[in-house]
Amino acid sequence: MFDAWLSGLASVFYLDTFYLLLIGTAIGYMIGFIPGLAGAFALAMLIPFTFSMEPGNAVVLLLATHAVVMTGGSYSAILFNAPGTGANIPASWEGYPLTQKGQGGRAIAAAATSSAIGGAISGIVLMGLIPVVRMILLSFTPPEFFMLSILAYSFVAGLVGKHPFRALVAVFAGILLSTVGIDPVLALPRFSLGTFYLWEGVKLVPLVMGMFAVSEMIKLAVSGQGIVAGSVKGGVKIGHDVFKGVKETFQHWFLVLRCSGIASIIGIIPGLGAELATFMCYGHALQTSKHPEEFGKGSIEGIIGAEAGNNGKEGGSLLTTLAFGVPGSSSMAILLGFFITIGIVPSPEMLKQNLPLVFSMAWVIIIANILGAAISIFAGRYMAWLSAVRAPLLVSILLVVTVIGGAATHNNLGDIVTTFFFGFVGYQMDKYGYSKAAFIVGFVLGKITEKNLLLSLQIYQGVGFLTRPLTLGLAAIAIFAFAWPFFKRYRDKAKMRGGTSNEI
Amino acid sequence: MRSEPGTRSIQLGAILLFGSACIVSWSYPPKARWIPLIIATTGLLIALVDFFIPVQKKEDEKEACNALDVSPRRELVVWLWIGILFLLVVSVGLIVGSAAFLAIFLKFFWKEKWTATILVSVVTGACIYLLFNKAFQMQLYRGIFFE
Repeated sequence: MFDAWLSGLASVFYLDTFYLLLIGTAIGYMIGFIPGLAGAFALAMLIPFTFSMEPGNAVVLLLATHAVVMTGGSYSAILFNAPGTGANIPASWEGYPLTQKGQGGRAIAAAATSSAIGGAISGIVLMGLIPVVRMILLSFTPPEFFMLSILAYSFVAGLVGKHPFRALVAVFAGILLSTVGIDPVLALPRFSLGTFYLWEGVKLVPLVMGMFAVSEMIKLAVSGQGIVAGSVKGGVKIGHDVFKGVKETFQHWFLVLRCSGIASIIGIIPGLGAELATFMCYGHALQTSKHPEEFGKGSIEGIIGAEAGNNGKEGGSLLTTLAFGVPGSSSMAILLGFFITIGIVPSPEMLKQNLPLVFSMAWVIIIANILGAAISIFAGRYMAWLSAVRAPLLVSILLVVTVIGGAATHNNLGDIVTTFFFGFVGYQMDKYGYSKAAFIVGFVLGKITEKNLLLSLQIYQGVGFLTRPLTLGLAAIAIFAFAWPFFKRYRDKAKMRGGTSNEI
Repeated sequence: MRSEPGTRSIQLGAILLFGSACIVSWSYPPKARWIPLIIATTGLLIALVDFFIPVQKKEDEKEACNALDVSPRRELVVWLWIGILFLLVVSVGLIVGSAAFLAIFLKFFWKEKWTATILVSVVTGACIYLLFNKAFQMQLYRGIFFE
């Protein structure tokens, strides 16, 4: 095993491999940074260029690109509130408020460092879990997937704030929206308003671009200000706090470790998606934070947890793809197709017979993430300045770029309408205190919850699935996670009352 | 206690959304309707509670409504511009529509100089074209006139 580990590492450092790793990292960054484009697009775009390459080199190029796309995506989320994918949404919740305070460099550095560590840990997990992956994979069935999605909702309890009913209205509206499209049981279109476009359901990218990025640009146009207000610009040296972000990530090393671990396990389970992993890690950061009141207003812990999570998922995802040929995401499905084309047939035996190749893939993920973080920490200081560009230029250009980002993936009229519609909805939700975060959590998790609930009910012919030990355990954690923020709030209030009466 | 008219409209909108989803759900066969129906009914109940509960503190209500404290006239003007962007993009496509919008938006909304306006719109349009159409080989939406 050690020989394979070492030869995997050595193969990455051959000159012709290493320069492809560098190119892949740079391309992944650039594509991730453009709002609306993500990992699947990057891979689909690169595959035609790999046909003339030696298969091992092609794998390096594709994996390096894929490994850092999420990190690039977090930049547009942090700097412009334009998360390119669902997994970058928490970065925009916490990073964008920091950018508005002139601390974009700090947020970028924290995101890059935690992404790198998360990615590196996922690579290590990929190497370490090879012997036990089958056991983990088989212990998760639809009832556990259902309960994991319920667990991921729990962090909404921490976002309730002053208007609990409005947060609940938002989360239920999000879940309701997720039921639009073909029904999973009878294959009938639901709430499709008579259009074929809605048969596939509402697409995440135009929704997210509209709700977060377009609505934000409209807000800035209405206020007439840039992202970093003039009053802040004068007092803050933008981009000079990059190393603070790096330092803070290491100060929260245990959070990074926990979130990477959670995400790696979720990554192994196919079909749960990067969004669920990221939301769970963000929720975990929120619930274990000593400063939960900072969440939503620019919490560095929120960025660290979420970013460690979205990159941490990749190792686990790749492991399942390689060992069982079960891709956990659209990107992994493209990679799987590519592996088969070049003669790498995924199977449990592959983990034994082609171990050096598997290890070299893990090393590519680790090294690409570290390289990516180094580039970001260097460039973050300058990139943060983008947020301080004059309002007329910034708002106008970003408005059209975000609309294009929303529509670019599928290039149809429906996506353009969706982007504008949710730009309007997002603006109104901001204006009247309805949580966009709760809405998006409901939307993203709704589909996973419905699908797995229906599957569980069919398999067990009723609610008997709830008595499975692992399901019960996850249910207990979910109940605890829901109740914890309320309990903590009650306890803090009681403490404050006690303190006040003592003073009197 | 009195609520802001805008908040009332949003609350009524939520009631309408969940209420109509309940009604539409009934038109589906039982196996396809039960999950949307449960979600819509629960959402409707919560939206009704949100509508009818008295607001505890007027400041809270004001805080929520005035998170974006802007003049309604400017807000309306911006929405008109968003409407123009939408019409341009839908009619002449993402690249031409975006460049044209940038030119008129920068000139007439932000009152920028003509030179800056033309430079920004041409450069942005060219960059979008080169990046998406040439580098990524993606055919961006070309508008109902050119599709």
